[in-house]
Amino acid sequence: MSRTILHIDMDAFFAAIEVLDDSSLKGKPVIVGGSTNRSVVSTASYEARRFGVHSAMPIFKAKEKCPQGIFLLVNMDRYKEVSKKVMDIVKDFSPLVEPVSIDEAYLDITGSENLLGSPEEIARHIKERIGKETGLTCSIGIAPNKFLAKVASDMNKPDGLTIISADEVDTFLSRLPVEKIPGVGKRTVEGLRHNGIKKVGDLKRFSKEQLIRRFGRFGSRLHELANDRDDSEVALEREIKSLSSEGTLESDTGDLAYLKRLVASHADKVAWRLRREGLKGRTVTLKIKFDDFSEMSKSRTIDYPTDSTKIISDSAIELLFNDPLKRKVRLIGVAVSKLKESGEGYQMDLFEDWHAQEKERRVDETMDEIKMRFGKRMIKKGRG
Amino acid sequence: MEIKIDRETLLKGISRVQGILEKRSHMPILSTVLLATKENELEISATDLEIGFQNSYPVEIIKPGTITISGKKLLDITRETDSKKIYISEKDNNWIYISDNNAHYNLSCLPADEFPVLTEPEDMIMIQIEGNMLAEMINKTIHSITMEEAGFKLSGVFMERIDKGGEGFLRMVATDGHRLSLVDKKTPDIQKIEMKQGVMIPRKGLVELNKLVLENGDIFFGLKQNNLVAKKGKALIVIRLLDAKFPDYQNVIPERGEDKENIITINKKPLLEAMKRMMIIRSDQYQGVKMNIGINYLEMVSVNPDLGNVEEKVEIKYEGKPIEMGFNPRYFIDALQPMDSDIIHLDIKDQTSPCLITGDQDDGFLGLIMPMRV
Repeated sequence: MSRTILHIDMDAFFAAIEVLDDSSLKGKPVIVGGSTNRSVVSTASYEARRFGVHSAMPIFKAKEKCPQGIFLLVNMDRYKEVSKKVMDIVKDFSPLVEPVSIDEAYLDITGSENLLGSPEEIARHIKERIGKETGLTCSIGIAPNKFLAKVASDMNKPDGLTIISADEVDTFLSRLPVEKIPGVGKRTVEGLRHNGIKKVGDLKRFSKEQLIRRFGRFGSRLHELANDRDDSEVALEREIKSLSSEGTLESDTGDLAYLKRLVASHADKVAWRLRREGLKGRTVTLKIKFDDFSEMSKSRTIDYPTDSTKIISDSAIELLFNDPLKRKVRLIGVAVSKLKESGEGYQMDLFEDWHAQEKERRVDETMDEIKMRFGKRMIKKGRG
Repeated sequence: MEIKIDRETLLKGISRVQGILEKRSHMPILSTVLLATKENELEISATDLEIGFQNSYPVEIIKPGTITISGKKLLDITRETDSKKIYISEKDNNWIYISDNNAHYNLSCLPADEFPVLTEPEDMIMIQIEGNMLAEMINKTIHSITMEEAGFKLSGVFMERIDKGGEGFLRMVATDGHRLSLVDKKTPDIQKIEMKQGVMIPRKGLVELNKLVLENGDIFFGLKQNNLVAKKGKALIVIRLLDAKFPDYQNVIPERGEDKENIITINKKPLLEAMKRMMIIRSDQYQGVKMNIGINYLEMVSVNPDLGNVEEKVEIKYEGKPIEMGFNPRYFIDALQPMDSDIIHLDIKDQTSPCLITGDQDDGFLGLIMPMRV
């Protein structure tokens, strides 16, 4: 049965809220990032994007590109409050809502047409209510599956509404560059290009088996997407179970010093994402894929939930050095699970390890501040 | 063995040991109770190998002997009868017959000689302690024991002997790493007890010890071979001490008191009730309450983005500088509830130092609560 999926994506969410709360910022290049931590842009207003600033860009680079930008720290409690309002509005239109992150949600409205109007009418209605009740704009994509709905919502930002109807899917896929597929990294794009695949539609020339042979498990997903078989459902209230960062190496290696640096950098990314989502985790997992494609993962659980770069990085590095590597490493990554929302507070400890943690926290914050001011390359932790 | 016993007596005896019985089945014998006739009494024993308990009750002995029987089943049988008397008799091959004159139970049981009987250590030095005092000490500390499995080293109350101006005091301290409770009570004869650097009593043992002391009167108390032994009348409890090191807690207890400026004086009841109201909109994610403290007022705010917020202002006596601090209200409720004082003193220093709680009528007690960053 053909489904109707909406993907709702708030426009420059963090920046838009800041402008909403301080109208003097209106029309100015607002760049939100940093907060308690990390040195990259969380959200840039559309004015700032005109200067080439985008999210995940290091702050120092954003400052180079947009020196007149207004740099603000993340105010997560406030964004969560607005996010809840938005999600509540969306839930009035269908019980099948999947919040993907603080500013994004999928909505399955299959069968709601008689009740609430055509998909386009429903989308306009949602946009109108979000506008009226929060003062913010969003972009909505409508398509027969989640993948295309997400691609569509991104096409006419900001304040966009893009519909891909069932009979347009084929044409659409034949024109869609493979880079647009979520989860496709540089190495996969290169691999695809190497095989003459530039558009998603090009993947159709290959059988599922061929794609699996070439790209592993991901090949099967590519086959699904190219053939419009994305059946993934809109999952209710999806809870983030773990956050991870991993990457395939340029070339396979057994160089522990190099691997240690990679682990530290993945740990840093995971910790930053934890802080961005307002989460803390207790279990740190090190994942390794060897040159024979065999996989290994090791975990350790710490006493208290953390979002500290140092604690996550130290735990992951310890796991790396625990046992000698049997083969060369092809892929390495760090994940943090057993998550809980860090909420509004952080319970301090009575005994001395608290003092150590507190010191570490201050180091993180100070480094973020410095990075915010002078850029990422200026300062790095010494390798102990 | 063949006995007749009052239902009420048996019910009391068998209910008393339910908390000790092992619920997991890896050693079925630990889910049983041992019934043994001794002179004119029935001795009921239970153990989980960490705690052993024994008490004696009047009984009509027809034929002396010893049996074990599932503690849960015997409780159920005793509960589900209207008869005044219960008859229990041992049959061949570990079968036990129980009757209340209406129902006739035949139960397959385990051989009594498999029961790990606890023996009271010999030559034990015991001192007399006031039951109420021990109960007070337990109630004012037990809530601070950590519930986390990972915190094994903190999963009990630390007990030691303290000397203050030549007088002996018994001290109990508990902490979960975020808060701490400490009680000192003058205890004559405490120096007779060998305690070395102090001992750790597990939570479950304290719960059982508390039941024993609550039944009024003094108890006799001693330590030997890693066991704590307490006796009251014919009841005996043996608790295996934890083999764990308690953290160096003295260092975290602030030396304050001279600087009266930092002290908030407040009535216990309104503070406790306000904290309970703060708890209403709390969730696992949002545990904190913000306390804005100013001259003679305390304003509490609890915010949960998923639900809403609650605010309340409480009158206090405070002359110090205004300060904003965050706390987990649960910790305050736990600490305040067992306190006897109407007037409470909260000694605050700054946002990263513990709040020290004392009360006028809570002699020897102090509580520490570490703030939250909010």
